[in-house]
Parts: sequence; C-alpha cells; structure tokens
Amino acid sequence: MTAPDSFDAFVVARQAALLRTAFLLTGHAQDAEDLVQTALVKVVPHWRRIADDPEPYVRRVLVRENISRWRRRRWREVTSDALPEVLAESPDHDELLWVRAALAELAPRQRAVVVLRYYEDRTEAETADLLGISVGTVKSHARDAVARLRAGLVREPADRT
Amino acid sequence: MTVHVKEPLERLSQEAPRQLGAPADLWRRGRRRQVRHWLAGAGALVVLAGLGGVAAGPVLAPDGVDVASTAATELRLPDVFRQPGEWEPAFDGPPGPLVAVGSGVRGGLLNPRNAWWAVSGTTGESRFLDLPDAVVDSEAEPTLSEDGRLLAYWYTGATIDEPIVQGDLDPAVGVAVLDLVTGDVQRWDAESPYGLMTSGLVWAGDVLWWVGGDFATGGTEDERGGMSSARLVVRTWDPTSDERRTREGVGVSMHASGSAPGGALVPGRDGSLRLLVADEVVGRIWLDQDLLFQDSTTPALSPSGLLAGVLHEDPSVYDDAPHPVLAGEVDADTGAVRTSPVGGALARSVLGWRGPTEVVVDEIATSDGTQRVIAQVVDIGSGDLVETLAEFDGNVPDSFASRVWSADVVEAPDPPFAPDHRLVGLALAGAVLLLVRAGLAVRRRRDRP
Repeated sequence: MTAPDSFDAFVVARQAALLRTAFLLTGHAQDAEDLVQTALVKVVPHWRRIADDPEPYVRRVLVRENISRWRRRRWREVTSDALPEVLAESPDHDELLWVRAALAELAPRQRAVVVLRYYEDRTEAETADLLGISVGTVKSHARDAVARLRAGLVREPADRT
Repeated sequence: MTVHVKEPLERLSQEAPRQLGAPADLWRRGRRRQVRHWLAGAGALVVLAGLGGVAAGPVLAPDGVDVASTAATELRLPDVFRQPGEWEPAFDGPPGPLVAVGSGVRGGLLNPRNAWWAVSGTTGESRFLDLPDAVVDSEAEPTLSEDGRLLAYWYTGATIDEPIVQGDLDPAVGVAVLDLVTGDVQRWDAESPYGLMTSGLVWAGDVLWWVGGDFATGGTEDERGGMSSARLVVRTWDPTSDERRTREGVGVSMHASGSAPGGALVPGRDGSLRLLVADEVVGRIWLDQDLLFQDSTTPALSPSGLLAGVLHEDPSVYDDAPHPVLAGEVDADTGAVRTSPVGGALARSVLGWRGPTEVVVDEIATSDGTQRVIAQVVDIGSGDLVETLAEFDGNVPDSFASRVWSADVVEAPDPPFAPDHRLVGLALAGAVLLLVRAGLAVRRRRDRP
C-alpha cells in the first residue's frame, strides 16, 4: 500500500501545473483539486506501466475525467449567473472574471481544446490524441471557441462602461 | 488571436490552488479503488455468468423428442447407445417406451452430479431422465420392463429415525414405478426407520420383484466401521392391480438377473437358476457349468427353451474380460441344461436373443486406436459372427428392455448441440460487457459538443 517514491516525487513536482490546467478546465478551485486528485487516484493501478513518463497519461485522464464529470452532472446542474468564488484582488480582477465566465460558457470539450491549444501550446494532433477525437474536430472546436471568446472580448469592455 | 487568448488564460491560471493532499493518501485511495473495481467486476461476471448459465438451458434445449402416445408402439433398436454429454437436456415429459437406462454425469453450475439417462425406444435418442426423488447409485440401479414401458427405481425421502446411509447418499425408502407413456408414478413406501439396503429390482412380465431390507442399527457408526447390515426381504408388486406381497421362503437373489420370455432368470440359493413369471417361481434350471450373472442381461433364455450365457471360470472374480459363450437346450421336464461352447465366440455377456438361434453378445472392439463396446449377433449353431448390431458410446447401460434385441435397427440421431452452460454464461457476460462498452462509446460520441 505504500506509495512508490516516483509517485510521491511526481505529485510534489507537478501538482501545481496540473492544478492550473484543472482550474482552467473547471473554473473553480475546489473542482480543480477534486479533478486532479481523481485523475491521480485513477492512474495508481497503471503506475508501474507509466512510471517512466507519467505526465501524458495523467493529463489524458485529467481532461477526459473533466468531460465525464460534466456529462454525469449536467442533468442535475442549475444554471446560475453568479460565480461562486471570489478571485484575488489583482489589478486585472474584472478581466479575469470575464475570462473565467467566457470559458464557463464553452462546452467542456471546447474548453479543453482552448486550454490545451492556447494555454499549454499543444499541437492540434496532440490535442486530438489527448481528447480522443479527430484533428478536424479539434480545429472546428478551436475555431468556434475562439470566435465566442472574441465576441465576448469585444462586448465586455462596452458592458463595463 | 492566439496570443490574445493565451495571456489571459495564463493570468487566470495563477488563481489556481497550489497544493493537493499528501501523495500517500492519493496512492491509498487509488489502491482501494482498484480493489473495489476488481471485486465489482468479478462479482458482475459471476452474476452474469450465472444468469447466462441458467438462461442457456432453455435457449440451447433442442426441440422435444417425439414420444409414443400409446403402448402399442414397437420398440426399435438404435445403432448407437450413446451416453448423453454432461450438458445435454433431459426428456421433456414422459419419454415413451425406453430401450435402455444407464448412469452418467450431468453438468451443474457449481458441481456435476450423477444422473440416470435413457435411450428412447421410438427415436433412438439419448437423454437424461428426471426421475422424482430417484436414488442415483450403482447399488440402486433402475430396471426396465420387457417392453420398455415401465421403469422401476429406488427413491429416497424422509426416514422415521436418523437414516443410516452407505456413503454420502440419501437412503432409499421405497420403490417407484414410472409409466413411461403416461408419466404416472406409483410408489411403494417401505416405511423404513433408517433407510433401505437395496439388493435388486427385477421385472417378471408385468410384476416387479424387489429385494431390500431395513438397515440394522447395530451400534454406533464407528462400531459398524462403515459396514451396514440388513435383513433382506423379497417382495412382489403388480402395478396394474397394485397387488403387493411379501414373499417368505423364496430362496432367490436379485443382485443380477437374466432375461426370459415373459419373465426373468435369477440365481437361486441352491446353485440353480429360478425362472420367475409374473409373481411366481415357475421353474428351476440346473446348470452343468457356472454361468456369469452380470447386470440385467446374461444369461438369457429364448422362447424355444435355449439358454445362453458366458462361462464364469473363476466364481471369485467379476470382470469385464471376454469369456467363452455357452449355449444349451433346457430340458422341459427336469430343468437340466447341458451347455457347450458356441464355436470360439468370446463375449463379456449375453445381451439377449435376436432369433431362434441367434444371440446378441457384447464385446470390446478396437478401431483407430479407440476401444468401444459393441453388440454383435452370433449364430449358436455355427458359432459364426452374423453382424454387428449396435455400439455403445460411453457407459454401457445398466438395464435394457429385453425385447429390444429382436427389434428392427434404426439409425440413432446425432447428439444435440449442448455446450457447457457455464461457458455460454461467460460468453453472454462478455457479450453484455462489450455491448455496454459499445453503448458508452456511442453515448460519448453523441455527447460531444
């Protein structure tokens, strides 16, 4: 039952990066923690096989688990305009709130495409592989998502004035 | 545009939490989840396999057997007496006249069990027999009447006191007769206090002779050292009239019997053969040589008074080795018979008479390196082998309807497709799992935005 050193070392070294991606995928700190913990719990049975290079597998589980969660929860979720958490009082606080809200409006797979392509700088092929979809689907998701984000960007400053 | 999106994403990501729980806790949760999944998967497979195995029986059961609707149907001799495979079905309802009954093994989801099987006298098909409460044991063999319509067997049930049993079997408590055409079952409950020691069932025409006795208590199980004793009693029973008699002073044994037209041959205590017809001992046959008594076949008396059997060279040894075939005419007045070898014919036993001078014997034949028991016709005048009538695939049956040996030969049907229900259950479980996975995959595709 004792965790191998490689697992401990990986979690310690990569937890912050995984949490950042998870935060962008979920939009909430608590959900991000849950998502990363679940992903790591799920990879435990496969650790011996992936121990040499665990990160790709962990990230694959992470993004797919997020989509699965959305699928499981969507029928019982209640839409709300209010965001449950308060971001740190940074100078660009309002813009960050908007970015988070804009991401939240995207479907989970579109959100994942945006995060993987534009935050993690992954290629279309890598993104497609991680999500288990075709490159063409990645392209269309990216195009649609960016269009929606751009529309929000244009609209948002006007709303704020 | 790419740069425009990347920068706010990076700034937003800085709002993410920095630390998780202890890695050791995550590892423990992962291991527990793995064990839960393994147990759930194994449990689901077992349940699905069980359900599949149960469902496989009706699904895989072949069509019902055509059975005789009247007792007038002539028996037919199948060219193969085949012991059914473990997963083959039982007769569905009354099977009609049977030509043979034997013991076999029937498959079960957890354990196989011993069972009686039979060969139809109308179709030649082999199937298991569902006999209510039947004792299935080599010491309690059922027996078929001459025409194959009635089957007598030992049945088990509650005893008055704690039963004394041989081995781990339920004790016999009585004898039942099943009408194989109507399905009617009659029982003779011996009201045994500790169970019955079984010592033989013999049909003499329409009357059943049976020998059994109450086990004697005689001390504790340890004191008996695994041995049991009983005072055996001879009884006769005519199921048609339901006349039941206990026969005192009839010195016969019924551990084996031979066939006779309208009756049966059984060994007497004085070394002679006793001819039973209906509920009477109608004659004695005095032998000049020891004949082997084996199961319900050898020796056999023909309608014209010829007796055939195999020589029992060593009375202390019973085996499956071939013995010389002997035959001779029974003196109608004295009952004496002088037997002589039938050419050089050797056989394990004499099964019955096929014609006035033709006996059916069983012998072991080897072909393609495989040994099988076959039924052959031997002419007692010349000692020549006339023809091979049938072969036995699996165990040789314990009891035959003696008229079958003079019946027309028909081709036995091929065995039905009857795979192991457990494997079918596993296959169904696997198919269900594949379908579930396919369904999930389809749902995933449909849910993609």
